[in-house]
Amino acid sequence: MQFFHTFQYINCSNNPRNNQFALVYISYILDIRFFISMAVHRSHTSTRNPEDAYRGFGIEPIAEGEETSREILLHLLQKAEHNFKNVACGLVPTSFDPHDPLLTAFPRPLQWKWPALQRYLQTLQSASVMMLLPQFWQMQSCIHRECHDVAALLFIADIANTPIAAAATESLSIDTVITSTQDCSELLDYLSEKEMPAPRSWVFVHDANKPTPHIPENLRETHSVVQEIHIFPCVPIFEQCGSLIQRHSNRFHTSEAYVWEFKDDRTLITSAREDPLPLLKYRLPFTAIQTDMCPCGKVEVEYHHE
Amino acid sequence: MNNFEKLKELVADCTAPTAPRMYRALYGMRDDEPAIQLGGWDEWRALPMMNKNTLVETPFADRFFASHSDIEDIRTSSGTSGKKPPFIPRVFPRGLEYRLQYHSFKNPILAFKVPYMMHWHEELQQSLGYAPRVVAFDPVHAEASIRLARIAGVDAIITFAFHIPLIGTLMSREGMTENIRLIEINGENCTRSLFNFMRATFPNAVILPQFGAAEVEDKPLGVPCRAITGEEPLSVYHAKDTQYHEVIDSDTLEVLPYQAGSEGELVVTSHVPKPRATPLIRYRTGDIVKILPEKCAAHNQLQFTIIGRVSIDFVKIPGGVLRADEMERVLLAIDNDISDRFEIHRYVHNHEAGPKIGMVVHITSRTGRNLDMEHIARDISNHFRVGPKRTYAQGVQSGMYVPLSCALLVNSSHTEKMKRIIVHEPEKS
Repeated sequence: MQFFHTFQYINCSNNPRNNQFALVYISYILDIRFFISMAVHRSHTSTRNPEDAYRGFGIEPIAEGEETSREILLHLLQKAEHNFKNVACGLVPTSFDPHDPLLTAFPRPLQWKWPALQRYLQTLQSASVMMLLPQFWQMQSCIHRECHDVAALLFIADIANTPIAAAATESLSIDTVITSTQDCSELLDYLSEKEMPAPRSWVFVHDANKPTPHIPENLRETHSVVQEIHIFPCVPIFEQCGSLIQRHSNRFHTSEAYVWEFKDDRTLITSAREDPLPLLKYRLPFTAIQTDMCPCGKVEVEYHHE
Repeated sequence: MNNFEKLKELVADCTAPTAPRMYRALYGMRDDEPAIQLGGWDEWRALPMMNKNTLVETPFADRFFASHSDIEDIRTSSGTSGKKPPFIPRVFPRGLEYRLQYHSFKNPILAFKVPYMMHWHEELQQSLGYAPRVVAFDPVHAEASIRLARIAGVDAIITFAFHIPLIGTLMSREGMTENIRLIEINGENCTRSLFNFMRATFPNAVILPQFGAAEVEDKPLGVPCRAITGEEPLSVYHAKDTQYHEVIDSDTLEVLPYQAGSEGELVVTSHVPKPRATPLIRYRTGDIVKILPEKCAAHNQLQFTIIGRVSIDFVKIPGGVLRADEMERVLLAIDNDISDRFEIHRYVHNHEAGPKIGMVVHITSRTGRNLDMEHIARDISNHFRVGPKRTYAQGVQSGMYVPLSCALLVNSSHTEKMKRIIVHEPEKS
């Protein structure tokens, strides 16, 4: 990714030989700089190697260089279940589906921060926020932290009680809803039926295992919509910048919490920060491709399931 | 500062010309009137009382006394009256130290978002030097929640009383009931049936009652004098330090002596120091309490127990609410010969998997004809909504409730005040 940026930037010299030299030189520098940044990043964020983290949960990590499939990860997490209580960490479910027979827990840092959400709330100038998500996703606390940091009111709505959620949009002047496409549809229908306006901004949490999401029809054009892709609830991998939000784009930027490997037929992520149980070359349930440069300076990414 | 001085300060603050309008409007104050300075207890007793309707009818901005940055939570009532529900902003809770004598809060907690937000539990754990670990209980997706709770190693449950049978059943399946050391229940009085279920299912748990109300920011309404041990009355409380309690005759509004033996509606004033988002002055809780003969041994304060509600138009049940106005709607839709004078009798039935709710609807005909009770019971069950997405029949089908039946309304005198929902505490076997 960094090579791509810099190649475009420097390819303006009139001397091809200089260009070639410059390209090689810059590439070399970038190689070094990239790995230095990784090392620095790790030293700032990771004080132990992944093996120690896994052994803290009573499990052995996969062999170095090997890829982790979802099946392998779930198997490891199930083996680790009885050790969660011995590790100072939070936990989130490994599925958005409460009826998933393989549902287990994925460890998260204590009081995990969601910096992208804070950025969205600032960009959207949110003052009054409603969370409309299943409570077993365990997102309440982190959403509260981010709302508190931007001094926004937060109302936790019940997904099973649409009339109350609708009343809240009016009584509390809700301007931002954090939800999923599944949980918001009933609210949107109810608001439409009662001729009540829908809040102006929507932050959608999408399941990475599901097909590429779409913005609800009645929110396009007229509302601000942010989309994030999570592999598990509270584990975001794709986020959006102001430009993508403005364009109602179905493209994303990669989360800086992971090191990304874009292969032809698969996409892998490795935790770049100190996660209680770091993901190691975890194979995502889709293939992602890097596309254009976004005005924000990051590369836009699309993904598709096989 | 004694009680009167605290109340005087509170009233002055809430009726200041720059204060939100709720109390100035309630007390009929002119725009140019200065804040009320109470001269004595007579003037205090002359202040009008308020109730939930006051909050429902007052715009949010007129009853919001703190700044946005102080707000930690926004609660609402169940919205069961058919009117728009009031949304109550709350600052951080205070006066909860009493809980520490019952539990360490060192290990993870399973908690519903009521009465305390997840982050409050986390902050409590952190303040005690423990890792902040809370698993949110989701009653809609209970099984998934309990699985996470098992993995986390929770040893405390803090939730509504009517969630307990479901949690107990699921935790039994996960083999974790003996690990539970604290159950803190709120939302309704603990029944003997529920206590027996908890005792049998969670043998090592201290059971602590929590008495609160969605409208009252300063939780709890009463500090429990002891854990629930099976000794009657099961739940006993004394007034919190930051509250002033009165007991009134709910029909005449006469203030009764706050002394042993008095029985009436509890009226609460919270003089908790600022910040306070929704200060309540002489708030009628709708709860009928009885002041007990003996003082609380641990705190040397008068104790009270809750013996009922003033008038019930709704009662919470697992998975929803029984609402009188919903029953009125259904009866009219089924057969307009059925009188709008009816009684819903709610029972609690003992089952192996915990107490189950049962309902008997007492009805009568407007014209005096014989009603087909069995047929009508089936119709009511199929159409009576206990929640936005659940009818009573669906609750029966999923094993939550006992099938509904109908009976003839005996007392249909139009001269007597009608109680539309009657909660039966002794279990019907």
